[in-house]
Amino acid sequence: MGFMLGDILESLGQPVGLRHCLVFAALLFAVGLYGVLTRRNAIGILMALELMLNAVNANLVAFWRYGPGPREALNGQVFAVFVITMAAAEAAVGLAIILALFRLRRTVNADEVNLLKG
Amino acid sequence: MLFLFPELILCGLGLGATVAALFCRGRGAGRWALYGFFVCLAGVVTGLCLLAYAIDLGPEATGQLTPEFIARTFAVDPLSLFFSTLALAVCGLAMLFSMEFVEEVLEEHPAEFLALIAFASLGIACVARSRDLITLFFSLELVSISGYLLSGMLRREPRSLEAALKYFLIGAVSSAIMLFGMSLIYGLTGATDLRVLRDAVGEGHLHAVGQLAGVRMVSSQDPMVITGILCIVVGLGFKIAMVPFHMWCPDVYEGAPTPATAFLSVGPKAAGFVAIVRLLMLTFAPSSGPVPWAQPVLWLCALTMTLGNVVACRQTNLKRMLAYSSIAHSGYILIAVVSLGSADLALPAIVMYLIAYVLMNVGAFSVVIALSNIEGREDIHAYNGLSKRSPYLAYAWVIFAMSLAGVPPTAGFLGKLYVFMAALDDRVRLYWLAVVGVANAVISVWYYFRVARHMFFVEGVRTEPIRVGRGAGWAIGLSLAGTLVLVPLFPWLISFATSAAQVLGAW
Amino acid sequence: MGSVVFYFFAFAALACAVIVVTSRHIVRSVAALFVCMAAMAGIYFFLSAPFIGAMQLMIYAGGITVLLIFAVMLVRRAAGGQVEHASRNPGGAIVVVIGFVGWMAPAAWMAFGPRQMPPVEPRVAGVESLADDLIRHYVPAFEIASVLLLVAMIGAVVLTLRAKQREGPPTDDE
Repeated sequence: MGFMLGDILESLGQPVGLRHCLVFAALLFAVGLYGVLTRRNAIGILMALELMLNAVNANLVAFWRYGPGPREALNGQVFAVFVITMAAAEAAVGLAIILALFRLRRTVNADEVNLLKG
Repeated sequence: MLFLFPELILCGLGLGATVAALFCRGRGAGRWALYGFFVCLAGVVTGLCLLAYAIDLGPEATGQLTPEFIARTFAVDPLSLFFSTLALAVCGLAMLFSMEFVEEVLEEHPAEFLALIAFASLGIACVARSRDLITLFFSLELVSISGYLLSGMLRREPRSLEAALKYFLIGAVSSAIMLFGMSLIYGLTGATDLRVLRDAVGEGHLHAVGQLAGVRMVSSQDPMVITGILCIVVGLGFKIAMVPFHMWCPDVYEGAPTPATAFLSVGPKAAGFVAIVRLLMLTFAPSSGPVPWAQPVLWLCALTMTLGNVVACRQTNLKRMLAYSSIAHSGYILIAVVSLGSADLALPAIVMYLIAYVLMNVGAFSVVIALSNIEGREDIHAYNGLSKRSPYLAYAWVIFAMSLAGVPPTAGFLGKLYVFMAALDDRVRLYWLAVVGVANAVISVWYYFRVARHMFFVEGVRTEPIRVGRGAGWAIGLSLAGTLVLVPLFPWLISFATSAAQVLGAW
Repeated sequence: MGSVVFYFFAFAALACAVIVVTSRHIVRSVAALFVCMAAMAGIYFFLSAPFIGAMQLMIYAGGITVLLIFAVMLVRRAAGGQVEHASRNPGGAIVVVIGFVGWMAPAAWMAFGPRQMPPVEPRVAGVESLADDLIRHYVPAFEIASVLLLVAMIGAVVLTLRAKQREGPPTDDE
């Protein structure tokens, strides 16, 4: 287990490498996951979801930047472009559903959606 | 382009329905659904002809007939052509059984409902085609997003929108988790092409490295690789309602409009399984050494079957019951997925089971749709005395129940038979799993036939005869024919599926 | 010097992300999301992916966040002021998150040693080659994405467009 605090502190002085980006993306993803699991408000969950997708994008771009492939292979960037597109589509659909439900039920809280018991 | 015919039809259908939505308000949507059905029917016939042609030509020649910029990420082999024809068939059946629904129940935006069904089917077809992580993910996403919207189509019904919200939130989170896994896999190997990934993950066939500069070989035991693959398993598990990730399924199925539920129970599930075949069975299954995802999926498979069937016994709402039943069916198909040691049996078994599942589930749901169009409810007491009110529906249900429970001589029986055979093969020897599967099939007989008991032996409050709508009636008839007629066709289908699977193995 | 830029943006993004998921005030959450997205764009520029950075700024920061702000404002006005933005009991979530980070971060840390950043010629990271890749290699995915956007558009119209004649609760929006 070479994962020591001292190691981290030492690496802060080094030039940023792939692992710094990956740890950052993992942390961001975890924060998003936390939000998804704890938020009661559907808009709040949607925002946490966007954080998770951003973490994926950070991963993709970092992997492209430091990855094994030639820099000409832009797979990672293309993937990131598509993920951004999808995030926009998902946000539009999600907000449409949330607003339509809000009109009927006057709530945006996901756990007050209780006609359907779990 | 010739072999992309089903996709082109589906895309055209979706765009056509979108344009039709401008002109068609309220009445008349049923007619559009009927036209859609006929287009799909013609497409299926043409697709089958193309399939025969493609098998005749062989995979290399079909590949050469396709422009390179498409063939790079889109497979044009016979198996994918077969799956896209199946997607076309699903779309046609869905058009048919939602005919009365769009005509009479759905007051607003009926043509958009049809457009969403066509686009979701397009997504299913594209999942079957994809041989690239990016394309595969976006095809799945197309299916999912159309699914969220389909379940929310009754926008004045809180239940429908709540189902849509639940489906959306859970589906989007699972997509994000799957994407995270895909980003890890991409990053570790540097490739998104599934064929390259197959060579790069695992002990690997090193011959591929020469021409693929810039791809890193990774061991399938690398913790990062395992994390990536498990993230993908979790994401796909949500899509097919595998057990710890199934909790959305009954609620969404219950709340969504019944025709949407019927479509959701076959479409996205088929897409999920096709993705599982492509990703887990054909890509992340190193030919030597342990398969990283096999052990967890093995246990979850047994759990999925058992929980689905046991909980289904306690349901009194038919839609909820069929939801748990569809969870159980995912479990059965997963048996074949984990028996990948005998891939030459497992792949055809999955193909067979999916065909049978589509037919019998569409049929069973069409019965529910036919009744819910008239009664407006789906609890089991609505079915009391149905055999007197509509013998057609009642007897059709019995056939579908037999097929769902796996009683011979139906398509469902043969599907189960092939799945269990794959598990019992000498190279796999998952005897206990097959025993669990058979025990589950026995349990399932009880709840399917409990409904039949209500239909035949319980006096209903209402006795007036039911006039089954044209669309639902035809959908039932077609799936009935499929469930029964497929049986003599099975030897031929199996030989086809086996040859297609061999093509895939070499793919 | 480069490292400082990265750490600045990374810490800004993470701090804002934490605000997004913990703040009890929903407008503050959206604002934090905006800053987080902008900081992410900074990271993409740092990683010499300027096109992704620009997309991030335009679509995430400019599009999605604005969409969210609209939604929040709409809901707030109709709900008469404050929107409940509380969190559930985070016990289970904390376990999940710590489990994830505890597994993922060391794995990533050890899988990739302290490799230097490979040099990138500006040409290949540019828009041209990206467009080339997008159009030549990923045509089907590109088409699927366009259908996806069409579906999202249809969906938004279906779910939120008001019928001409009558409408449910008359109080809100537009």
